[in-house]
Amino acid sequence: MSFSMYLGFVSGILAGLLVVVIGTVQKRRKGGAPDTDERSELINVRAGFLTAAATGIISFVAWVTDNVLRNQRGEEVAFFSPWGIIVLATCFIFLGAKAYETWKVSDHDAAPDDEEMKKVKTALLCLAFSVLSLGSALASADGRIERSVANVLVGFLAVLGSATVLTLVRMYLRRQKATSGR
Amino acid sequence: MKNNIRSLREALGMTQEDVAKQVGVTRQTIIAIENDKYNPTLNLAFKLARLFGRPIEEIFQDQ
Repeated sequence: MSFSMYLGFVSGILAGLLVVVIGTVQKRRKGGAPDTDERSELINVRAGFLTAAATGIISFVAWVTDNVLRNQRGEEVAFFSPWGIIVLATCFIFLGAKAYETWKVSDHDAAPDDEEMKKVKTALLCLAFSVLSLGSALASADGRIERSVANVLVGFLAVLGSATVLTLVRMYLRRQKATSGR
Repeated sequence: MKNNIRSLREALGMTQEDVAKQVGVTRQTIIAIENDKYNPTLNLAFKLARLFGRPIEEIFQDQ
């Protein structure tokens, strides 16, 4: 596919989105029965979750298969292949969404030490760990740093990052507790 | 959760579309509630209770 064809494809998608947005705005201005309500929002959320889960699972299977085949052919494993990027992106989306959802539903201001908050902390730690590891791995793959140095950095930065995040969360919780105890 | 929205609506001579417009949801949502396929939020339950002029516990019954 040439670059101009690609641009045409992208423009087509953007034009389609624009038409949908304009249509929705016009319909809302005219009034009448709503197109969406609490039930359709719930359905959309479920559909979104299933879509993301299906994308992640399919990409994961493709990622593993691709790398097994590469290994059998004697080629190097492609960790950051398009499949790998989709798998990692899906993991980050799930982790982020879960942390946000738990944060929203938990009464974090009133009970900073409850079970839900522990889940938020775990999710934050996982996110920090993943981002640091991924950043180091990307820098390594890019050739900006030596692979051996990157491997050390992955472990070091992950521990450092996790400790920083944990400390910040603890500081925040302690402050919240002090404020609510007043 | 069971409910008697269908009988209350029919007693008032209203269509599903009428109820939907009054409480600001889609007709599909009213159909789903009437068929016990969807439990409305508290907000919507209060709107329905106000529309039919009945207390919530008279419209919705926990099984």
